[in-house]
Amino acid sequence: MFKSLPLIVRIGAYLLLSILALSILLPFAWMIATALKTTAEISQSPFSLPATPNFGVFAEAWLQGDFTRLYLNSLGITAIAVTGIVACCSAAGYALAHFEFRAKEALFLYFLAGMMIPPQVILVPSFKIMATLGLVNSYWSVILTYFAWVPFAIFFFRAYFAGIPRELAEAARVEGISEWDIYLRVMLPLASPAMATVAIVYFIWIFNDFMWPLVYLNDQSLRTVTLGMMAFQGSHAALMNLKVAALLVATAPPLIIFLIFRRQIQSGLVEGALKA
Amino acid sequence: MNHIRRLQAVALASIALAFWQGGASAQQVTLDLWSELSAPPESTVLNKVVDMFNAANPDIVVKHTSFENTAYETALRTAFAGGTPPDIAEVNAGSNAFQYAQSGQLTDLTEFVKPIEEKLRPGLETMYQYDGKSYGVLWGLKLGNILYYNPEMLNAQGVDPASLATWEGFMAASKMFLDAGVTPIAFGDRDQWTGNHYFNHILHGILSKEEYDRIGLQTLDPSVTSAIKWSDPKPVRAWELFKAVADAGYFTAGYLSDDNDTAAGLFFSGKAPFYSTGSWGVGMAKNAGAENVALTLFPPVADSPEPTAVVTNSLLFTIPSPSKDVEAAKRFLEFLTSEQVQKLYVEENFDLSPYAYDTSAWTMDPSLRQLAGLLENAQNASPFLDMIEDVKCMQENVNEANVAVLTGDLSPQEAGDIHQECVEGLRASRNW
Amino acid sequence: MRRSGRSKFYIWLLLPAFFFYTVFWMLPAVVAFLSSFTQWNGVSLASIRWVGLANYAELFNDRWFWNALRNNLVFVAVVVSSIVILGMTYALILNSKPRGHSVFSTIFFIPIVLSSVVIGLLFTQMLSPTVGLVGPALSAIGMPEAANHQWLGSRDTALPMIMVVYIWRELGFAILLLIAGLQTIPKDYLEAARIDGATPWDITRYVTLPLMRPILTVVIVLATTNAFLLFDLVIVMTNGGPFHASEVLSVFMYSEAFLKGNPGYGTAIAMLLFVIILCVSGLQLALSGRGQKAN
Repeated sequence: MFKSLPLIVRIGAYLLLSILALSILLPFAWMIATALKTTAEISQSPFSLPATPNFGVFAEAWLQGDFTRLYLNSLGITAIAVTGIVACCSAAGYALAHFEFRAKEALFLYFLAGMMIPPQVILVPSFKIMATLGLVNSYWSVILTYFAWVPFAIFFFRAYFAGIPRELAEAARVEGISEWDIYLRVMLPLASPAMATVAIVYFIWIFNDFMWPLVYLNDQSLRTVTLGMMAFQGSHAALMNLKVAALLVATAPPLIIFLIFRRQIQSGLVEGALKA
Repeated sequence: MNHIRRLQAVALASIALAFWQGGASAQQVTLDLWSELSAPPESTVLNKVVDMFNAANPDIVVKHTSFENTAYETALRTAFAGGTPPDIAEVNAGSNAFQYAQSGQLTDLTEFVKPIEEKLRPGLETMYQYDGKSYGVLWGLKLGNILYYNPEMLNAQGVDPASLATWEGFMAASKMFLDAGVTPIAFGDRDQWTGNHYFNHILHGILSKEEYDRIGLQTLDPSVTSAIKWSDPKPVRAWELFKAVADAGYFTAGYLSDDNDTAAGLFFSGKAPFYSTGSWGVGMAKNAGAENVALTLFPPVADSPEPTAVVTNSLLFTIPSPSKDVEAAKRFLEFLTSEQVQKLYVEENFDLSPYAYDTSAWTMDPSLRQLAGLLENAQNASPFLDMIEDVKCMQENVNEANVAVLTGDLSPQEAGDIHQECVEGLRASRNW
Repeated sequence: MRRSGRSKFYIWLLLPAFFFYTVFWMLPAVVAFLSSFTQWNGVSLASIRWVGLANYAELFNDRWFWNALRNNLVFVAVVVSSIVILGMTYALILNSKPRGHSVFSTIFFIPIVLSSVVIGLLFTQMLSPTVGLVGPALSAIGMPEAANHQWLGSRDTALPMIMVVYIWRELGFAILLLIAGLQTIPKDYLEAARIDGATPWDITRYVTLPLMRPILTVVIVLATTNAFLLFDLVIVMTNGGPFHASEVLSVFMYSEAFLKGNPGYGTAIAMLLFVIILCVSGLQLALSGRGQKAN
């Protein structure tokens, strides 16, 4: 299809693709080069490549920032939160798409409204609720907060289930299969691409979230990657190479995993987002 | 008769004694202590002090909970608002403490603090006195008005460090660097507090302690009035001097967009000869491995009424008013101010003490000694302006306004006028 | 019997999501909404005073509110139209499968995974005239005058720079959704159009775009909502400065509520922001619904 286009259009297209690709790759190249340089080299020539690349800087940043601990915390919190979101919201999305009841539309709008509330505004009241429950400074404070991030997931699951014909469930009912079995054995397997998509999107959001861990997780041993990375930036004022190395240490592992699974994610989105 | 009376008295006394002793051993009191000292070395020192206190006082157990700095204020406010504050609370001296005191949530410690005050360095009581009453004891001390310079660069340029004793000398030295093609002052005002501190220190040099404290405290303490208005020539002059630095091109190129760390990095890597930050800059220099770093007091104007006075910052330990056992809490507060504890704090925390103990036998780094010397030599001490002014007027008219003055959005006179307007509006709205 | 079993079943399905959402999201939001009618110092409950609509009335006389609203509207308009136009362009190019398209789409993915904090820190460093990359680059290509320009520190360029970074961050997700949309268009439609002698431009204009309307609506509504709530990039890159030049509503709200100690006023701003977003996305959905019927 591309080959059928006029040459000038093709050149233009490649130009556009290259500009965007470069704008994304250049900052990374700069980060890597900066991390590998000495502080003196950085202030003298921002462009140059490091004279003797210091690869030890990544290990240093990893150890000084205690990134093992940070990654364990982040992965634990994110895994539980994402599992909860997918479980709760796939169920709710299925109910909103396949069942008829009064106030269905109102309930759907109620679930969507949360998307439009700036999260900063609920910061203080939420903190009070968590403090009342005695959960501040525990993993559960953030996990429960993430459980409440339902709007996008419900929106997405509802659209996905709406694309699955209701006749399927009806046929199962005629055969006397229980509602739970219809949901767990028929509907959920059909929705697995949507579940994968929601899981990935939420994984990224929660893994990168900064505000809630900042407020709730005071104890240093509970810190997440983003939180620890920010603390690292603050406590290594003039050590530009180490600061940039910490940025890379905090971003590279999720990025690599994400890129490896890119195809699955994309197909998940194709099948998911547009089913309706 | 007399004999019987005496027997009765002895019996009563021994019963009372037994009762008191029994009560004390059975009723060990646990005090909750909250602080924002969550990172070493500060947290380590406080934990050590708590252990020392618990060992020496078997009838009291102090339990320390530390919070991450940014979340602490929210946690503490929530606790106060919910009526369940800790028994001892560390709060930021100044405006935060005043706010809690104002709403009646701190125990009045005026009488208790009086003997402690005798060893306090002059001027520091401004940090915890509200409406004539005292609400806590100070823990450590940081100095704000410090200028760091690169002695090697000064030497190469033929600038005598002694000329940095006055603002005028500092500006003349800056001009020499600029003429030689070096932008002299590393500065980044992205987060606004850096510009706040610059203006703060210039103003502090122009005013006397009395004038400086009052112009700030008039927004926090109904009993304080200020003879000087923000729109008067003296505060406006401070804005003018601040703006003149930028207009002359002395600030490094990213002065409005860089953050403080970037500016510090420029100075530590020898790209700019001057940089101003508080006494914590000594620790920053150490971390960065910067060797060519020397310090002096932030240059006051030549006609400064108190040229050696210092701007300070401290943490305050208070007793929230629904405290389990005020007397036990007082014993802990008193312990904090003891020579033993203050020595530990200074030696391990790389910081200064608000109390005038003889430090000659203490183990101190040369630059820390130099800072201690500046403190000992100071005629007076005042808190940072942002500790003694209401947060709204401070945020709008110093934090935001300092950027506006640099960009030209506000003239120095306008900056003074709107500040005065805010202060008067605030006092009027509170019927002061 | 089974009917009633079925009619109750949806409650079990909805309950967990409803519970967590209500307790940890909507309940705090309602508390926040109520506090927008109060004035208090954030310290003691005793100091709370009910002030009715005073906070809202004050907003209309606050020039910084209008400034933040204007900044926000400009930001949303520029950013959403850029994301839609650029996203559609790139999606069309990639969907025509040029050589190397999978490498390109992999690269375009990268910003999606990065946190705003990291992106903000990275671009702040790069744009700095003292330690950055842009200044030396400009002087290398013979523009030494511009080398000292404070991209994030001057009134004219601070917000535009945040826009560029925001588009950079969000474009990948839009491209992803739009490619997904393009792939759902049945091949035979396009084939038929081509056999009828339609040019690629005609196919795009008369076949692809109308069929893309539903997914375009999703992209536009999501982009608009997110752009209105812009917060962390501004906080990390400029803090709303210099002197309010890049202050948008959520940043203005944050500064009033947390920095100037007036949570009631801050919440009033947030409630207005909520209403604005609700109206704008409602309007978008209505327009797209009508457009669909017209087609």
